[in-house]
Amino acid sequence: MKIAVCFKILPDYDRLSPKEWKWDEHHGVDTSFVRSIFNCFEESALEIALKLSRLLAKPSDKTELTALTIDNGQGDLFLKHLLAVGYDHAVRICPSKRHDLRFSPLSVSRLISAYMNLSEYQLSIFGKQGGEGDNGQTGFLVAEQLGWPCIREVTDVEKTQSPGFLKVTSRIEGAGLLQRIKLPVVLIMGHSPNSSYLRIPNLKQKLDAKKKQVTLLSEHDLKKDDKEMVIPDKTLIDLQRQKTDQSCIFLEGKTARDQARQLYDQYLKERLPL
Amino acid sequence: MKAAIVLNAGSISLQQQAHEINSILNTIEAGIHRLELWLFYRDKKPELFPEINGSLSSIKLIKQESVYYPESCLQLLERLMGQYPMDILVFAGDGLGEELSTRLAYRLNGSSCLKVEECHLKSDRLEVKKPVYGNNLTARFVLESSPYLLSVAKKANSPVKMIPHELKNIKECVFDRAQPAWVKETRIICDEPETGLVIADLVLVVGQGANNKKAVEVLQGFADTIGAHLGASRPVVMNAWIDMNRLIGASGLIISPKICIAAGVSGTGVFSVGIKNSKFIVAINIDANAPIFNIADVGIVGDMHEILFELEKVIKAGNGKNGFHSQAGSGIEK
Repeated sequence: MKIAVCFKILPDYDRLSPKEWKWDEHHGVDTSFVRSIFNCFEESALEIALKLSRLLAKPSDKTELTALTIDNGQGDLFLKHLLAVGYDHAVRICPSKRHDLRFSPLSVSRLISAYMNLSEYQLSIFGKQGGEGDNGQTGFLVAEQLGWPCIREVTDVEKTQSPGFLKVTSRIEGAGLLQRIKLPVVLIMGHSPNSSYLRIPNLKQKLDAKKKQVTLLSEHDLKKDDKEMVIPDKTLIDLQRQKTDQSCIFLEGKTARDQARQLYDQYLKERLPL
Repeated sequence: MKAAIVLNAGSISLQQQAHEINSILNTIEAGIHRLELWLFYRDKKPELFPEINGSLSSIKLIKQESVYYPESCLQLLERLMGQYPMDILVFAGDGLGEELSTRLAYRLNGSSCLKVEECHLKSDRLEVKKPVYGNNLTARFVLESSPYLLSVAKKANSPVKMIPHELKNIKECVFDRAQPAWVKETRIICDEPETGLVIADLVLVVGQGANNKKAVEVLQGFADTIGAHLGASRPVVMNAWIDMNRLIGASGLIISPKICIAAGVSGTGVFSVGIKNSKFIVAINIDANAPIFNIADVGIVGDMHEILFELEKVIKAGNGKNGFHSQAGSGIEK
């Protein structure tokens, strides 16, 4: 089974103070001074694929894992990490710098689908939301372009006794849904408590990964015809940061007891339900 | 322009979803000359309908076999759009609404956008506003090609009323459809009962500062003592310290209690959107620079366990006057 997991590294937004949210005339937001991280849903996707690769239904049912990202080099360290923890291939699609893909899930999905069509993948896993645009649409659009079915809000995936089938648990309103499905399929990860965090490589794995190469592909490498790969379906007009007029009053008591007393007497006593 | 609202009569959030859709319809109502409600149902044909802002020209009832196969909904909607073309389709902000709006827009060569907070018609172009950068910024976009398929942003709980409609405007649509061949077996696993968090007046939300599962159990006791409902941020849920149905935030519940005590929560953008509609927010965090203080009315910099332990004692001391729910202590330890 060939699996491609798609991810995009992100700046850690929690490290930006309110006044550090600034953008230029092209709506580019400078986040270069904060560390990059995996998006939490994509981290689950990457880990769950590793777990799948360890569960062989039959010796012939070997799993081949590819980690795929689209950026101009920011994700290479993360791709090396993925090679170290067990990914067989690390692929980076380098988009043309003239394209702003942040808010164009349609363009991103076209690049990913074009890559998926180069090889015989049977499973593609996405996080339900990631990237600067919080678009939440890329996985659905890849499913449409590949003509594959799609399951959203996935919480767990297991192999079955029969190769070519998976047991997928997902969330629907007010319930969990367990389905046995035939591949190929696009899975879109939601909250997955069993696979929240990506495993950490040991020193030997890290050293081995250093020798492995990240495969670089350009838009041109993926093009089948003269049609443009990048077609935005919406145009950004402006960015805004919501101003909070709330100014927090800090309770300055010397001890926790003082602070709790102050909180209760001045603010909670009258508001708490009888 | 012609617009249709697409909802699922079987959804437990139907009235809330209609409220969320109403709030964006307000801004484009003037440009819409025909508004329809397209309502999926399974077994019993609906007799009451969610109250929609604007005059409904027609209600179309669409029978479906199963709510959890988006593929069959997509086929039905494609056919409906073939028979009754619309310029705008507005979907609920749940997972199904997001999936349908995205995939249907692709099939119809239209544009789609999710988590839409506002939209405006300007010279026959649709402008939408939505959160970006982890709910830290909002962006305005122009959607390039019609039809426009939108899924709305979640809002604080304010369900609309269910009302009757004139039968002459109600049309039933029945289509043949194929069950997906790729699904071989299906089993539904029902959730724990509703937590009541979205309608609670007093909520204690705990974050990673809670430290462990045992501490969260103790905090549940504290919440019971003061008559609060307990919610949690993502790390608490992902560590399985508490059930998933208590997750607060953009991908969980949006709450609007009279008092929200956020303890040990850092206050990321995706979390804050879940509590920012609370009438009064108390934040307790050991880090004075935690972003949670940006949305709080009152803040305490300190250890959440110590503060809540003391608060419990203070509340119990005032209990004789205020009559809180439980006389027993929760067991919070300093």
